[in-house]
Amino acid sequence: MMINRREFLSKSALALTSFFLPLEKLANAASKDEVIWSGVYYGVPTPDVPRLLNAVSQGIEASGGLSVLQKKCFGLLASTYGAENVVNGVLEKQEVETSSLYFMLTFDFEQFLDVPDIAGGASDKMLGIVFNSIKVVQLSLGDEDVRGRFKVKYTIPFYTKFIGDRVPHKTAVKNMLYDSAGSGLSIVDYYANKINGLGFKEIFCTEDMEGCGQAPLNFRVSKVNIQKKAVLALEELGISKYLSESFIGNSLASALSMKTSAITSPFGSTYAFSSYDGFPSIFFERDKVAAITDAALSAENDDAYELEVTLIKVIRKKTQSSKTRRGYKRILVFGVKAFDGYWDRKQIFKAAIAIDASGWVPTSLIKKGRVKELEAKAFSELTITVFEKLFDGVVNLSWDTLGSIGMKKDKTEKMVTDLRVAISKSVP
Amino acid sequence: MNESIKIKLLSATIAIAISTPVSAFNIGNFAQKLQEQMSNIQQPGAQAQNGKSNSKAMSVEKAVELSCKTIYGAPFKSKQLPSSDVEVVSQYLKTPSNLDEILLVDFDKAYSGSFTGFTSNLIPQLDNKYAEQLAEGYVREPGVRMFAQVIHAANTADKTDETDNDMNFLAPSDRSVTKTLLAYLLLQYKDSGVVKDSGAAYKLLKQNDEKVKIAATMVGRMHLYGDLAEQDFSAAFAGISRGDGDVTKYKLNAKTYADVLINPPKGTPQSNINRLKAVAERGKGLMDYVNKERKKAHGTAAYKEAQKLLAEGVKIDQITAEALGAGDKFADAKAKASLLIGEAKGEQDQLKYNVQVSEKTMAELEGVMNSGASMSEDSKKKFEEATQRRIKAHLKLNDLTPRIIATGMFQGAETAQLVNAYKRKSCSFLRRAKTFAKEVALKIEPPMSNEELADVTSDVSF
Repeated sequence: MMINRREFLSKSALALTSFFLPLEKLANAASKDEVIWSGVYYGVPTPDVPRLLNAVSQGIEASGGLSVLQKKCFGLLASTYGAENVVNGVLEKQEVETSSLYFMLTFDFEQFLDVPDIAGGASDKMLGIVFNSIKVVQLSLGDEDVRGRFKVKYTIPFYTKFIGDRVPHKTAVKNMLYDSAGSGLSIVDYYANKINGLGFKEIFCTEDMEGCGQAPLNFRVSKVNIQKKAVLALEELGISKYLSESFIGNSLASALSMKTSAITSPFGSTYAFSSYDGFPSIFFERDKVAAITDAALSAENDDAYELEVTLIKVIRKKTQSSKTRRGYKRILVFGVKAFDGYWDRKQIFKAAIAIDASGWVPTSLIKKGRVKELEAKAFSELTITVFEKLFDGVVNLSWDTLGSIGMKKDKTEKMVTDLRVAISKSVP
Repeated sequence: MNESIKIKLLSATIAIAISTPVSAFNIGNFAQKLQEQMSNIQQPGAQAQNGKSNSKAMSVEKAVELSCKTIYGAPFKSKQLPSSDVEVVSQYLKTPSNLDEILLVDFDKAYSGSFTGFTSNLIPQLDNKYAEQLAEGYVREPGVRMFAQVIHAANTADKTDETDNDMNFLAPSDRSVTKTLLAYLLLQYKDSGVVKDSGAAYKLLKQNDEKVKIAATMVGRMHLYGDLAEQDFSAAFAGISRGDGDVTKYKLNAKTYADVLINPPKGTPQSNINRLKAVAERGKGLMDYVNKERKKAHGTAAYKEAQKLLAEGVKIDQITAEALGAGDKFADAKAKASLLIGEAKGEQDQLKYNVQVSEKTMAELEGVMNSGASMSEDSKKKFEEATQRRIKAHLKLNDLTPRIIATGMFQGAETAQLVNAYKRKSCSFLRRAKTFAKEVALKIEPPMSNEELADVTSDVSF
């Protein structure tokens, strides 16, 4: 007979002391239904995977297939919570006795750019970005009187970048999955870092701990707009498909999550902190989990905070000119709004933010028609950077940082404070 | 034509031009060093007195500039425009945000039919220094900025036509020729989707075709082919006739003659074909005469010296290629020259071979510089040394030119042509080397200040 959650937790020496601290192995715990590795999923419908997550799916295959990645993620979960406490795979319905935490890793969006080398090298360079998310789902089965519940409790979007000499995209993904990826942590390392660092309260809850296990509030990027002039500028630059709503939305969500640790729904996904009553038995079929959560949670959600972002201006102007090079200044202007509450929506933040950068473009590349890729790379990087600066500036109340994206203290101080409070409520 | 006039004419065709402004050298250490080299190298022929340079001696840079100016003319100096570049070009062009790139990329486009593309060959056919400088400027920097300069010039340049009554000679005004240049540029972008009025080029040409020969030629071609204007043989041959039958000077017109004689457009009247054939035959006769005089210059002292200097040129190319990390380009150029010339058996073959190697290497190295090559400090030093040697060789060759010509009317013509070809490339390369040094030293614009960014965000609504 399985022990229940409380029994499991009561045996944990860490139960009362480390809600927010990195977890040690729970060596003596015995439950197999508390921490479950639930798998790796694509955040798009299966038929769209070859088109929308082409590099990721090929990269996974090239690096040994899904089973290798599953095993690696499971191993990391086991090493964090103790191998004896972690179950690999979704349980059969009859085996679930109480609430459990299901850990998943999903791939939500990818963007790969082959960029010419502006230093004149013969080989192309590359910028690859994969947006991923860690999701932690909680289940309760209910009984004859109470229907079972399904709740996505934590979603942690993040991106991984690959910058370097051009290689086949699948090779880049292989690198991004397991190695340093040339920029920050690999996908697996980020996953390990987060599951180790967050300290999920549910695992330590006991009956006398009021409110324990209650998830923090969360953010969701609910809308991405691109104003008409910006649409035109993107079209003229030939980069509409790169600076897309998906890219902007995913960048904003990831920047918020990565810079502040606020729980944030991945953009475009309907995974959220919602409950779903009466989940069907199909839930327990491993390959259907993503689809079910996606469909089930779209209708009702009670996200605590919503973000809306508007791309207002895309400017690229020539500042210098010579026979071989053109110097360009690139400017992006976004408008960001934050709302408190889903049902009773109240705007708590509204500010325009801007970023600029200058760079050379060899005229030889202009003649070869390779500017589009350069612009796509430059504006993609600016997009991510301006959002990171926004949230970095807000959580650290740094007016140097906020000033560097065009925000003025005298006009936005109150809003920044309100957004900061909202973020603090969303950090586990 | 008497002998002295002929010599002067030939001399003019052999002189070389470099047209980079002196001020181009004042940015950055690397650029400064090159400028210093040009100022300090003793000009051949200038005597040092009491350990000091002859104060009257022309600076080397000036000498090179002057030597090169004869053909290319002085560089075009940008004018202050009444409004922004984009506003000025909007008179004739649509202004998408990527207009600058379109103008750059499509400038190399070639076409078939009446207009085959804007090439540097067209520039001397404008036959007007002001317009030629403007066209040179555009060739160097095709894009919105220079297009605006062309339009501004077409609107404001001097509109006085000059007539020499005694010689019955008409020199069209700067404005007329500039309008013709503008028309040619509009034709260059006819398929780029940026020209507001597809008939604007024809209108500009038609306004000036009685004065500007190359305008008349193009109007003639348009009517001949019927692709950019209504096909009308009468108007076509009126235009071509007005365009001038000088096959050396007005090459487009000569090409039109050849086009018609080899493959006349359907329906071309035979009487017109016959008329053009007669003119072309006169051109052929001149060329036969030139050919007879060809080899008389061999064996002269000037020839020997030229040979030595051109061999030195090859060595300089090798050092420059190494400095730019492009030793393979030099090796390729040598291989290609060998293929082209065959086994170099005689002195003349060796001369041709050296010129071929240098021309090809310099062209390749310009490509390397155009690709934005970066350089280490050691490479910069090597590059500076090679440039110093190149300047010296260039000036010596320049001094040599009159001596080669002095061998007789057409004596030395072939040698002179080879030297001319080398120097022409050398001018172009030196000009490029100067701008390259300037580019290496150029700094990218710094990021906007917080205040500037705040201004950007202050007037938006969302």
